[in-house]
Amino acid sequence: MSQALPAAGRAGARRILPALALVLVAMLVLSLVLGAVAVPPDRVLAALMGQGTGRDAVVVLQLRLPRAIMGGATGAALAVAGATLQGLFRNPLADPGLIGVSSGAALAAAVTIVLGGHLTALLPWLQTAWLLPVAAFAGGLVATRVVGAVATRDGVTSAPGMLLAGIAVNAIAMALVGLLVWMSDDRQLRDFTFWTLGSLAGADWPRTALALPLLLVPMLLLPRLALPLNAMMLGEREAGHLGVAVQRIKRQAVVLSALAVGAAVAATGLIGFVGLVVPHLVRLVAGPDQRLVIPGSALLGASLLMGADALARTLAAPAELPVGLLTSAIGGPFFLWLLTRRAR
Amino acid sequence: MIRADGVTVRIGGRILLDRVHLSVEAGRLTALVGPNGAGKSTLLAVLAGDRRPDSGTVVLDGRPLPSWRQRELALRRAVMLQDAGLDFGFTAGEVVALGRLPHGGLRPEEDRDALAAAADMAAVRDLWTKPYPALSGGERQRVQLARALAQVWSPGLDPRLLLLDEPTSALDLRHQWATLALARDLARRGWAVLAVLHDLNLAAMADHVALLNGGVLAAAGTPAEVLTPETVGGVYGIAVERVATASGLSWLSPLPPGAAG
Amino acid sequence: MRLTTGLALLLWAAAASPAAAATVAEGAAVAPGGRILSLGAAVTEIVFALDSGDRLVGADSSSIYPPDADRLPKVGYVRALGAEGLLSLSPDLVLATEEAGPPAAIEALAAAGVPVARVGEGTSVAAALARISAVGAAIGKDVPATTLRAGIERDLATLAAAMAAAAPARPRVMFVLSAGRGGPMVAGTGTAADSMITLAGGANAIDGYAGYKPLAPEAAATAEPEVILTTTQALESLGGADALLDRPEIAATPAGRARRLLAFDAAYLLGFGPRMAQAATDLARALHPGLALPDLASAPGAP
Repeated sequence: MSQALPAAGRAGARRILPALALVLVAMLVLSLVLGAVAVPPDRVLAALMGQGTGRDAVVVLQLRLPRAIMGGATGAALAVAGATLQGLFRNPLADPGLIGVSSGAALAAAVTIVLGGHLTALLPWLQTAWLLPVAAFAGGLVATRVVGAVATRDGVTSAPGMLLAGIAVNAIAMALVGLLVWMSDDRQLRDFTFWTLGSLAGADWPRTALALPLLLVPMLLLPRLALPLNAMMLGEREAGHLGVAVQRIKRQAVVLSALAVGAAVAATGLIGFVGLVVPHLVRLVAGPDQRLVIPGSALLGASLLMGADALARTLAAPAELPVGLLTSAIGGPFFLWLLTRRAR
Repeated sequence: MIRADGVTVRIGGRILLDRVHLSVEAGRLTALVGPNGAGKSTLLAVLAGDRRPDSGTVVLDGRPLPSWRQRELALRRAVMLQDAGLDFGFTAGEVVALGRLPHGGLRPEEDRDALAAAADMAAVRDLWTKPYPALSGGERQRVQLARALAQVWSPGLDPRLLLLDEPTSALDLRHQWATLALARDLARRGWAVLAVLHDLNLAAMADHVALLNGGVLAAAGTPAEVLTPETVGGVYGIAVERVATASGLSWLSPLPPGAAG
Repeated sequence: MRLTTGLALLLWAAAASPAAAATVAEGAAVAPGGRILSLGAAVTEIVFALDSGDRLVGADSSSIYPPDADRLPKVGYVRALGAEGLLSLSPDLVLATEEAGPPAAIEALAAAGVPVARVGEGTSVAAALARISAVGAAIGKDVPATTLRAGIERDLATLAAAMAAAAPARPRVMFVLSAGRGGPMVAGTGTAADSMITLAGGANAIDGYAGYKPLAPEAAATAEPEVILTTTQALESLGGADALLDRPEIAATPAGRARRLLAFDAAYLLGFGPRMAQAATDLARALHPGLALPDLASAPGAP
């Protein structure tokens, strides 16, 4: 046998997962300790051990903990979906919104906010507080279904066809959102605007418990697609020659990503940047191997959203900043910094 | 090893392949040649299982191609297509390693040996840690060849089917000949190799040549039978003459229009 | 590793944030019902009118009247509140209009043992009076609330009686909320402006739709308003009365030709708070210049 080959991957790429896991733990600690109410770390710990009293316990266990969990799961889901779809479309700049899920959810949210009053008047048993997330989730999935159906002929879904159909569906959804905005009154308009900026303020235990399985299931299943997705970056025909069931993988990747993004948007509103740039950041350091990019994106996405929400809760205390502003405000410059460092 | 019988492919009203018969035999390097648009890549896609013929059959190892399971097929034959684009910064080594995907990572030792053997055969050892998007067209072709070889490599180099679509189009002279020599060498070991080629003098190195023209098999046989100035000139629509070189090789050379002929 | 360095920076930035300065120390001894957090401009104004402004520890961002309210710590947009921010002000009571949310934030207050009083937010006289009673009951100011209500009712009755006696023609009034690129946003039926115009003896020139909508030029012409009513805030952002009157949709109307434009402070005119009788009377005076209207007995003071 000839001499051994050097390792094919990037030096140190494998260290990224433990490093990101540490960052996630740091962000979790940060989001449990930081907040508008001053709770010293020892009392945070006591509250977590079940020995907290009164307001400390409520703040740590009922407010910060579910928010941290919801934020982490949402950020991870968005980033994992972004990593998957970027690989699937062979485009490092693909956004989860490309398959229509965000605009479908936005349309459903606008319908609920603007016309929800009429709806609950007709059907009084509807719970308004739950109507918006459920509608947003359903709207996202319906829009993705439409995109997929348009791009599928004879059982073959075309990736470029999906991108084009996604653009069309996004345009239609945004036109209808525009119509609803036109119909809306001042308060509905404000509500919708805040929804599009994203917030974790609604994350209590019941909502977190409802959203968590929907966020976690795709996240646990998508890493299994990492190898076939790697092959598909060579091209769909090439992946097929390597024994990959291309159509099945494509369908699974789109459905699971849509589930993840739909659940994330339903839980928190629109949070930009995470799905687009987190996978990109991971790739800059670890290379494009989806076996690292998908779990790495989950860890970094969770960290970014948790950290951003900790800041959203404290920077303008006692008021809150929309967390979507902060993900972009933190992630954007950081991304630029990485890009310039790499360019050198 | 693989045989196409009466394969017809239509797109819209256009006939891309018209009742083509082609047998790619084990132990033989088969060259598929023909002018642009003759249907070479379409025939390769049919043989690779990417495209179902509208009529006709394809049989691999005595079994109809559609009855093969995808992974089974991936262990039996490898395909190298024309320039595979890649927007992500995989290293050359990572691209070659993707060839081992159908083996499921169950035997890491064997995977390692396969990669080393493929790297040597396609001469990509020096490229191993370089990002694929930064490679030249010729380097990429060699990496893709290595990937295809790694896919069907086994410790005994057992015979497999190799389908190569213009594997030499971007290669320099030395690598063109090295690639053809490698293909012929594998054929000697019992492999079945089909290579779509443009350079008829490279095709002359094959054991068997199939000449496609307008979707029809115009000629098939040994290079001496097919690559005659008459046949080639008729199909390509340009005057060709056979010249003998100083070292005793026989060469097909086109004659520029207006030159003596 | 680059990534960890960057995130360490971020951690440092988070630790150094001004959050620490904004948090409130715990344990301040306040009697039950003492510290009030008000969520909603209408509620805040009532608390001040009931002489309890000094008990407020915070308010939402829309609570800007009276001026003292504007100096309170602000917890943000009333529909996008954060529970912990509310708790950090250590309120003993939270007064919130029905619109305050999200629900999880309000529910969390209850979980933390902070009583929450929800108050209706209608823009009718009846809803406004009920709101005063509800706030009064919640903060232990029932008697002053009853007195405040009675004053407003008396003033409105005085106004109504004067209007009935004189029975002047009811001018057609068009209320312009704002004027952006899409045409002026004009009040239809069911709006606070519509209620106010009616109280002041005018007629809303727009009765074809409910809520606020951008006005099409033809619709403006058919509405034939004799008076344009707007807010001082809208005029400010437009750059003066002429900017509004010279708009093509407005210029062609009777009001535009006569250049009859009235502007009031937005919260004063539309808030349906303790000053609503005063505001209605002011508007009535402006709409009917020839009419002698009696001065108000209760007036807590116009802006």
